[in-house]
Amino acid sequence: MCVMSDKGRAPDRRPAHAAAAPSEGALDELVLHHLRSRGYMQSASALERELQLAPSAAAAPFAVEGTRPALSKLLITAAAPAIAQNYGELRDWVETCLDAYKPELRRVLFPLFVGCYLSIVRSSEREVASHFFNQFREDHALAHRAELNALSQLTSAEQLDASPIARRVESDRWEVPISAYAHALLLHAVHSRGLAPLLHTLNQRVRLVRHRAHPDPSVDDGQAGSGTAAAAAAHLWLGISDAAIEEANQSEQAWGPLEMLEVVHKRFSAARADDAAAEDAAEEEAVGGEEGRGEKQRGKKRKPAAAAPEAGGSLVSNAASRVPLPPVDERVEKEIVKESRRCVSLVGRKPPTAAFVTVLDAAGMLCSAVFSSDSTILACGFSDSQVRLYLLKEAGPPKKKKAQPPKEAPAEPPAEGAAEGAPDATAVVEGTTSMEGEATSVAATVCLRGHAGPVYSLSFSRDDTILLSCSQDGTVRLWGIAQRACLVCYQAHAAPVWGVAFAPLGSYFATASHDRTVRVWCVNSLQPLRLLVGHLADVRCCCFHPNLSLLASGSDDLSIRIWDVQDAKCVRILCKDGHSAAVTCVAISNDGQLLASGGSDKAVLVWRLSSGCLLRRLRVHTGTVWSVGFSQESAQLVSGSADCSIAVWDVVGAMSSEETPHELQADTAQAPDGVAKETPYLISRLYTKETPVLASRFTRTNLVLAAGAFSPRKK
Amino acid sequence: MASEAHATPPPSDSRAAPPLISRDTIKTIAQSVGIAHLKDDVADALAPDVEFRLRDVIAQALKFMAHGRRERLTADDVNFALRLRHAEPLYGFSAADPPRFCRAGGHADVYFLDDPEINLSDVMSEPLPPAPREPSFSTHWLAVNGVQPSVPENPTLERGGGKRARGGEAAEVEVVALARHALTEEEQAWLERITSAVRDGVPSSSRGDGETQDAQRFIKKPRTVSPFDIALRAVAKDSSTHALSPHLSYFVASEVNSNLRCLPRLVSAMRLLHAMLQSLTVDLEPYLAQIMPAVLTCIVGKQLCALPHEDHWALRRTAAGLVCIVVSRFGERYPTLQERLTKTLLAVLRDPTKPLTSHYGAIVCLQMLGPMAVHTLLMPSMATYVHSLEEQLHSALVSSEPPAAAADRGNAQARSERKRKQQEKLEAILRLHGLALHVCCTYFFVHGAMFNTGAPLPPLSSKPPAVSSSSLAPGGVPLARGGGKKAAAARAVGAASGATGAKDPPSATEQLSAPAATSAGLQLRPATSYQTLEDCFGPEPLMSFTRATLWKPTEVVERPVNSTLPQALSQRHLSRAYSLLDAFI
Repeated sequence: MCVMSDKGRAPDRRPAHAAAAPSEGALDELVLHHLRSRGYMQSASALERELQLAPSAAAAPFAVEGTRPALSKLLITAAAPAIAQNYGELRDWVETCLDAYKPELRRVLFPLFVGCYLSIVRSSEREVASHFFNQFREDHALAHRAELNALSQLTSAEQLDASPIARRVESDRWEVPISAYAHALLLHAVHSRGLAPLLHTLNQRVRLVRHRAHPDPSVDDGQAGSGTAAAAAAHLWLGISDAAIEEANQSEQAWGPLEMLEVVHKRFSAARADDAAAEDAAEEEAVGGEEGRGEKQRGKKRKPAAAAPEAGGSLVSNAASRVPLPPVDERVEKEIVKESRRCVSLVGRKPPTAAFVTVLDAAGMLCSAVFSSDSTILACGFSDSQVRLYLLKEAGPPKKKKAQPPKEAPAEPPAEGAAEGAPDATAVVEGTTSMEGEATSVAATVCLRGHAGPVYSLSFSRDDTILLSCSQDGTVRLWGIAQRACLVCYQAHAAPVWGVAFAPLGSYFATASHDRTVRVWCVNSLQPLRLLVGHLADVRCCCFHPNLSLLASGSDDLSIRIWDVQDAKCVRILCKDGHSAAVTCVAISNDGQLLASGGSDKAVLVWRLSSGCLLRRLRVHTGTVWSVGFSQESAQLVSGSADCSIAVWDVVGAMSSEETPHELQADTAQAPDGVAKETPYLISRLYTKETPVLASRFTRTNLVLAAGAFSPRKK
Repeated sequence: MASEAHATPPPSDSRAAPPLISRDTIKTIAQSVGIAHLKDDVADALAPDVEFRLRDVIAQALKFMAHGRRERLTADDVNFALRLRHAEPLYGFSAADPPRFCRAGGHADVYFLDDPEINLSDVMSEPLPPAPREPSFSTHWLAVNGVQPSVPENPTLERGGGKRARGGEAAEVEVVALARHALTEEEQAWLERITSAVRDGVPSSSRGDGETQDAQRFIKKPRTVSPFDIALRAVAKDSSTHALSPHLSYFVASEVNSNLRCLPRLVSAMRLLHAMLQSLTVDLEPYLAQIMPAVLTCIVGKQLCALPHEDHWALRRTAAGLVCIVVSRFGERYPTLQERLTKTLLAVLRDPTKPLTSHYGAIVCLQMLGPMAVHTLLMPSMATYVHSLEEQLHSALVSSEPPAAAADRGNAQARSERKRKQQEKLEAILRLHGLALHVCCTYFFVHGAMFNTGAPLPPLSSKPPAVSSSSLAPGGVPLARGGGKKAAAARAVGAASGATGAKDPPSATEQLSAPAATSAGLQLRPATSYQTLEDCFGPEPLMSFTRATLWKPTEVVERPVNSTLPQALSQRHLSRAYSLLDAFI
């Protein structure tokens, strides 16, 4: 990717002057005259001497009409093919330039394109013009459809004179803001490649306004929240207009959850409902005695509430997946159904109950963390290439809150997930005040070694028998939890792999990489099944849709793309009013309707998948959002951030006042400060003790689980 | 071409931001790698390219930093970025302590790499650095139904953010709450319950006569479980008392200050303090300044009870015990703590105007501070002190005698009042005397070996060493052992101590009639180190300190008391005093 130098260093200075060859003598005279008229007398006399022309000859034909138009006309007519070629060169250079400056440079390209096209048309080289237009129109097709249509009408110089658009383009200079270094880069590229005709067009058509030293003002302004800035940022990256995105997002998809799974779950839950109470009781006894019985009661109460979103989901077709499905492990599903009966309904802004796992002595080393599906294991990826599994169950549940007065004990949260199996806290050390005081038993830790670089992402399979990890070394490794060993090593990415995600039923997984691709794999094949190409920068994260045939990926290019796994096609681009900095995490709700994303711009966005529109921009965090997760019935959303806090959001409330873009604007206008108005849909914000939150999610019983590395500010 | 390029941006603007890598930089670097004369053209061509590559590498390294979830760029990030660009990584920068760039003195823009030479042998001889700790984990409840429990793992609630987390109340409430130490409602309720339990739940038995039992009860487990006991146990066991420690210590101090004459309240305050000291989570360290005066008051206070017969002695002992706990726990962190404490106690002890009760407390406390304290502080003045005690005892006995002879003219009340006071004083003297002897005995027989460099002490049961006649008392009567035990004992008592006199009434009467002999019998030596008891008290009274011969209450009963002892000192009272003293040994 060290682009510029590889291509541009090779000196090829052929274009401009070579093309101007036909009227050599006239050109010299022209130049001489021009020099004189501009007052460069020394240069003029030097040239005169060189050409050894008679001074008298210089007076001749141009004196009357003025040299400048003549000169430019001469240059233009001479250089039509060269212009086209130069434009292509510059475009290639922009595409291979540094990511940070690419948006700005792209912004220059369209005025240049228009200018070049008009110049070529004026030179009456029709074939060149049409070829040029067709060659590069695709670059701007999405963003400037209307202008392209207008331009395509203009094919001759006469038309140009008649067309108001052309006249405006030719008379005005297009103002483009650009940062100092991007500007320097551009000039350097133009000079080093000898793109003289292009430079001419650039000077004629574009006014580069250097605003500041750093690119992308929308990111570091702090005002990043405002919709317009975000939109502008997204446009810079993608070069796509809102209309174009809407058009791209038209395609019909089945957004419902997986039909087959629904059926299986219904069967299990129906079977359980039919079962006699005796069997229920016996089973519950086995699970957790009295507590279990309490849960059962609540589970029964919950039923109607849980049914509601299902009904909503079923409005959209619960189509069968278009991807061949792996076999369903009935045992696991049965367990899931059983657990979901203990699930606490979170409808109605119920305040969350959260357990936190603090990883100690790992400040600056912990790169990733993920909880297993049944919340009994925390897998952590470290920068020293290790993956550590922390068996939460063996270490005992979180402490009972000691500070709670006895009277509150009955109000004990019912949502005690699998993380809290045994109620008596064995690992509780009373009176330890410092975080370091508590060390866990070595038995509760499993160390997996195999990677050769920091482990950036982890993912558990649905049945918690397999863990996937991806690393800086470009490999993805599959670990057997029971075997505690690496079973497979997938090696297809040449660049660091940033993200990995298992599909809902296992078997498939997706990886997101620095090489700007998303790859879809099957665990039994060493080569990827699909290559999803389209992102314009690193892909940071990916996540499967519950119906398995769709895949979401978030990228450094500020956009989130939804892919059809079967066709490997992009079916949605979520970037309108979207993030103004890299997307760091995505999550799709269980009903398959909503997508939540967090970004380096400190915002959490909620999108509606079917329309591809932004629903809500949730701003309260003051650091990069590292994880988002929906609750089981998609009523709440949890987000964990680098600012050492967890926020729980009310999705139902956010959706109830849906489809009101004006209100949305009002919200976002006030939100950025955070003080002007209390953030509207925030249920609770929970602070940790100097522990950035790497992972946060809802368990199957709607308990919030989060993890992070204790990072005291001063060592 | 140049002119055209020049026309594009405003001319002034193009000079505004000089490139990071200038021509001079390139030339300097070229010189550093041995290229002496680099052409300007070459440098000009190289500079932008170098800058481009530099920015590229930095941009990539930042990506690695972001994915490593860090906010600080490390050398590893840069190396990963370089590897991504197929460049050689930089070696030697990944260590925990990488070399640093330093500014050259006097030059604004000249930097160099501070890479000092390290002597390999030094490195080898150094002890190994501590092994990095294996990452571990701990779990806790971050929130329960939206409320963050106040466990150590959660941030303290005083923080603005923490308050806001509790459900987003109005902003102004939050600001007010920041100023003071916020107790949750539950904590407040609990504090109230504890304090009320301590106030009300005074064990009733302590008001009566069972002083010793009460003292035992304090140390040992209470027999019945009262709310007071429950509160104490909660304070001692529950870790959440931590937040209440300032309130509790304030409560203890104010209880002592406001109830100086109410023994039960003082006792329960001390018990609460004891519970706090037992707790692992209550940190009393910041509140020592508040607590220590209160405890010392309970030790050396002049009068700590409303009625004379209440057992404030036990309170003094328990308070002294608490002081010992405090000193042993915080003494290392506050080296002056024990010093100041002993200074105070000694000042009390050396002040003859202080009441005997205060002296008692001071001695008890010093004794509990350990044999070393006894050795250095108490023993040098102990002999004189015991002596003066005996004199006091004598005068008390003498002064209490007259009423018997005097035709009791004064009304009965005044007489009984006087009688009571005399009894009190006598009891105090007896207690103090017993205590002093106890201290001496313990010192010599138990801890003596610690300070004794000479011959071992005689075992208690064996015969004392033969004493030559030259070392005998002025009376010149050789000590007869064995058969003449009675007489010897009588003499010994007379010569050595009033305590023996008290225990051994006949001899006491004997000696009381001749006080000069008593004082003459004591041979005091200004010794700084006490090898044996003889050094302190003279040669004779060794045997007299054994329980068997001296502390038999039966002897008291046998003797014709009435003839010698004042009426006021009734038989019953005296025997009880003996039994109390007996408990000390």
